[in-house]
Amino acid sequence: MNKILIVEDEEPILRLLAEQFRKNDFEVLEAKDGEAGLALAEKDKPNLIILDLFMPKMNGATMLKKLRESGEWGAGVPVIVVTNFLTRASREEVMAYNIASFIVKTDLKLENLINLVKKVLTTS
Amino acid sequence: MDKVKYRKKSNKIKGKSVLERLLKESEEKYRLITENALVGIYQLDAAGRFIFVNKALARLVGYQPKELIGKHFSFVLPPARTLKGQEIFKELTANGQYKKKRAPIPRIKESYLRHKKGHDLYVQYSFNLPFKTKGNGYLSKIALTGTVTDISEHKKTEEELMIRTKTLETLKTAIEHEKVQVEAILNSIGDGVIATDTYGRIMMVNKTAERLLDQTAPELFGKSVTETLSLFDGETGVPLLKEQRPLDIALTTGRTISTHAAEGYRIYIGKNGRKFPVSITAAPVRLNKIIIGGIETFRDISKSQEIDKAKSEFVSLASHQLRTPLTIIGLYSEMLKSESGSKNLTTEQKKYLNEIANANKRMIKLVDLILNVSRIDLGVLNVVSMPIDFVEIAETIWKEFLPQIKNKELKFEKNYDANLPILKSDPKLLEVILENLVSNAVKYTPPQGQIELSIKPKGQTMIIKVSDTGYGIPASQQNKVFSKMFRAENVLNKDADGTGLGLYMVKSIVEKMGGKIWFESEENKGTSFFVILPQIHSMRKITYQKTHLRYE
Repeated sequence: MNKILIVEDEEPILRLLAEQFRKNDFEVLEAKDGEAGLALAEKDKPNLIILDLFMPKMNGATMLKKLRESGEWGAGVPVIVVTNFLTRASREEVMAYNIASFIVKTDLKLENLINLVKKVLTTS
Repeated sequence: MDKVKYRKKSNKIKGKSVLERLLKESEEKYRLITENALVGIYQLDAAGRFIFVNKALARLVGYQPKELIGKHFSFVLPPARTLKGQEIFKELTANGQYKKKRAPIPRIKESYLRHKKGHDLYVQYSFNLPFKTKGNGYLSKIALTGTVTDISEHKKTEEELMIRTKTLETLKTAIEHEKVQVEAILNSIGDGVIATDTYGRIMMVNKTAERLLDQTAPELFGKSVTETLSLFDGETGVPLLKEQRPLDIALTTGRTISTHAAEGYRIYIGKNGRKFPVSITAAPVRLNKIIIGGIETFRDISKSQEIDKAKSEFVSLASHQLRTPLTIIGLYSEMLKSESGSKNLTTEQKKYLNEIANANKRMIKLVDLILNVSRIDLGVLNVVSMPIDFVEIAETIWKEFLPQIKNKELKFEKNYDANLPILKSDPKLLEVILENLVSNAVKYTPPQGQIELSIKPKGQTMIIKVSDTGYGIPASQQNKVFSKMFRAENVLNKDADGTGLGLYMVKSIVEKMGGKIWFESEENKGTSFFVILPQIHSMRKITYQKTHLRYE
């Protein structure tokens, strides 16, 4: 029930997030781009996905679109977007795919993120 | 014999007296005619002196006939004409009296006469040589005879007509000149120009319009703009109705209508099917307050749209790239500051760490500020609209400045209206507005001063007031407060931190949200900033109905 996938291309951020979630008894899957993220998601079916938008190979918005169109599980899994990519277009694009939250990275507090993930997991 | 003689003699006498009588009658007849004629009549002797002047001529020049008799004719000429007059007279009388029996046809000339009172008359005069007579009677003395008619009025009318004709010609030339000039101007500008009559029928198009619309002026002439040229909403692609088209609005309301690229553009379609985005200005043409037509200018903005797009892509990319390292510094500082991270740190190390974390926060703010300013400059600042609790945002801002407020022992008064409605607005931008105004108040108020933040609804608007008892803005610099990079002289040495971008940005944001900002300030007394915001701003239609947009 506590299996999450973090898709994030920035090594230090990915490492820190993974470490902190593990400390809080989460099982953490890691991917560094949308392509790997999508493959891992479909294979291991995590309970929640933390998704960056601006990434190499496949960006977060494309991955989200493919995930939502991939089937019943993909359409329903909660996704929290954590990004610094803040154009209106990018925001609107992901808003259309039923996301649980949209967080600006520079505003990010680890404690708040962990609490938010716990809340989303218990309500979904 | 004597009797016969007498008879002969008496017959002779009798015949003489009849002749005399007839002569007298004839003389009387002509005297009456000449003296009472309305036309002036003169007779000059060989020396050019008047030997006869009728009443009409004498009256014309302001004299009695007897005053003129014996005077040289130059007496009634303007001095400047005297010489010329004498020349003509000499020439005419050179051959003496007229020799042939048949009456010559009088010739006519025009000249000026000087009136007794000094003004000049323009006259037409005829002249004729008399028949040669034998003996040395009156008739033999006549050298020249003729009539004089005053045509001053006639001349005046003629001159006026000439002036009028000349004026008209000058005007015509000026109009033609202007027409050529206007055409040259219209054809040399890069915007399409269409001129119409009051019914919106095309009267003129310039070269750019011909090129953009791919239609020639003769093809378009007389056609209705609304029916001939399709115009679409740039964002929705829906054809505009007659009452939505700028030119039609301008013609019916008399207002000048402008559509700017930032507020939604329009699209025209050329005859060749090429669609191109345009910004349009339509204005009525008025003559004596009556609308006599309309002018529409439209600019092809496809190039500038491409450039704007490229610029805004760059801004968002730069935003992402700059924020990422700042995020990493922020997250790791947070880790170090947490209980488990900081347990092995000395008090001194914790102090250093705090400085790093604070500097990072400032850096994030600066990046946000610079990016917001460049978005404003590009016209790509996004305004979203969602239900927000104003007090909650105000409280967050207040808490942010609490350490400084306590440090400076400032008295911070919060006046929130109890009936504050939940309003639709942009939370991020509201934060920016409040943050900047409160930050300025805190920064520029000396210790133990007072700050007030009040938020009150008024009709369909919301009024924010942030006032302080601070240094104030010097009166001489108040007009520059909202300029980019402006910093007041009296605070330059008190705070080295400011960028001069804050109020510039706040003003741009407030205006973008459809509001207004102003202030009252007195040096060393304090400053009050006022912001009035519409509760539901009208700039953008995009609304996030789902409230899962959270700012953590």
